Amino acid sequence: MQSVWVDLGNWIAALFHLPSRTGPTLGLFLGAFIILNLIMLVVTYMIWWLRKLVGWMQSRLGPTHVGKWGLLQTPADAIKLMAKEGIIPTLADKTLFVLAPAVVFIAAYLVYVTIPFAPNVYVADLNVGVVYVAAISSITVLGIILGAWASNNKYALLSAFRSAAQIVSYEVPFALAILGPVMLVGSFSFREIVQGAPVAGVPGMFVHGQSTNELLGSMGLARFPASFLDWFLITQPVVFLCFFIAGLAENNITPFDIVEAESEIVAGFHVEYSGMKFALLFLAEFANTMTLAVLTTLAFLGGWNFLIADGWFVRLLGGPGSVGATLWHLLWFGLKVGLLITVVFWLRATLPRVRVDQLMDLGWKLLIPVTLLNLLVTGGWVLLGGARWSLALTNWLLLIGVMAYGARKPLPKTEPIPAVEPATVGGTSG
Amino acid sequence: MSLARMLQDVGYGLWSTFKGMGITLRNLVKFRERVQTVKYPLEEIVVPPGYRGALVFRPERCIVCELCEKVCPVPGTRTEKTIEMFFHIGPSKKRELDEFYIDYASCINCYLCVEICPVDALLPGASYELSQIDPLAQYDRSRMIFGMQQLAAQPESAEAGTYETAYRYVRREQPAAGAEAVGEPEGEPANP
Repeated sequence: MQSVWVDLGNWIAALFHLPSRTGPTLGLFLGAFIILNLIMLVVTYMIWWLRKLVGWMQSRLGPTHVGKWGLLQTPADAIKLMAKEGIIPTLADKTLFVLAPAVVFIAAYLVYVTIPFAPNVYVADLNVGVVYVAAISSITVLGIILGAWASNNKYALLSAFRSAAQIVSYEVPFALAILGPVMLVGSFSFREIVQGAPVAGVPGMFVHGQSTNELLGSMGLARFPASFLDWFLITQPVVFLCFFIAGLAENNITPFDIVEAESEIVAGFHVEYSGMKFALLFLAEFANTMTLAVLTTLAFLGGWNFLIADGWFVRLLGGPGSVGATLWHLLWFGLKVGLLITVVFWLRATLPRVRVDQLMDLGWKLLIPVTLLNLLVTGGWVLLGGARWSLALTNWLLLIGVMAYGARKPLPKTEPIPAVEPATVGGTSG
Repeated sequence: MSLARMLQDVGYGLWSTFKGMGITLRNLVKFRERVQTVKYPLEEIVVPPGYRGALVFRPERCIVCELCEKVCPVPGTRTEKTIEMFFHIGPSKKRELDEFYIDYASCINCYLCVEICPVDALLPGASYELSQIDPLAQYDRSRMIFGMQQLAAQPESAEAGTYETAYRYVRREQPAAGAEAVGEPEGEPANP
């Protein structure tokens, strides 16, 4: 299915009698512009939603005064940040200092090149989309180190080193975890992961030996994710948890935000930043949160698909590729992303910050072994052609069993305080 | 660490995370009952009886023993002590009070004067809006020395309502619709 941006560009080119070869280029530029502004808008209201939700969970009200329910609070904050003086410290490296926020934000923005929001709303359907995202999202650390080094501030530099250690550690389980769905689908492209491309030898949910998509498609019934039971969240819950945790850590989100630990290193790598440059760093942070939600939706929550097979409804709306069907898919994509963002904020309101050694332990001693093991198990499953439901059953039994076992862990006993002998005058040591 | 022990730790971590998320979710669902925020300029706070606000002075009770002036630990900014009294000897050889000042620029609200007063002429007050005693004080610091009449007009915190009222107000057990409804508990208004 052709990208909707290319369609748009061709339409505009035809409207203004431009040469037809300018159409796709124009469309992609328009798409980039629209997605950039969409990120800005969504991030603005993500910050509002974070403040409201965390406020409610902590028995506060959140912003209430600017606009109805405080809805204009974050636009007002953005305007304030734009109007502020941009201070560059005297001893800072000015070029790098100015460059760093741009690097961080561009890295956060470039990920959206390969994100399909609906079957026909994407900029480029890269056949190595997953690899591309894993590569681009780690450029963020370059920007962070650049900014911290250029600020000439010891807290910023400490924070940047922490960030480097954290992102390098969690990049590995992040990429290894998403390989589970990739192996089951047999493609690195996000569109095909969502649609479940029919690849020979990949077992389907219901029919052994023949892909579900082929069979159902031949019967004219539905695309691959027939229902939510086909989502990879159901098939591979363990990897889903690993992916989500690694993503949280990679994007410095709260239980793992040692990079911005206020109690230890004032504000982390953006201590010296103010005004618009700070706004850009802040924006990139929330854009990364959104990216995590989007990637999790695509890889594990069935992307733009409805809960059950909706082929008949899509046909009712005008068939795949029509405006109605695209809006219907965008609605479900948005709802899933919103739900995941809410879960991230929920965790933020619940969990305290981990220590540095705990963070490293979790990454290297738990997530990497588990994801590696999953790679082995899923690979074997695909090779032997096992049915997908048996993989799901194994995963869920393992997860629930481990949690039930963990719930029975006796609470650590506090050591009794040793009785202190009353001191004798003159002392008894000797 | 054995594998079983490690698995148990992992399970415990997951389980306790979900349990913690349950607690925050319960807080979210019941946030209307549990919210603690008082929108101060829009709503007024109901203070408990022992509240240490602006001091209240009752000139008719004062016997001019000057204990409050002696016990006051703070030198004033424009006066010798933060509390200053002026009196004359009346026809019956009794001290009669002319004027009583507290310099609020230096008062630390230690309430030693309230504790030492033998006749309860100095009382704890319920007013927390000290800038409203004399609104011009923010332009002229010498106006922060408040006199007898100004101090006598302050609300007493013993009249501010009961502990129960304040507790119920904090727990949101009484309707907190607007400033009027909140500002008038069962007793007398907290801030006239």
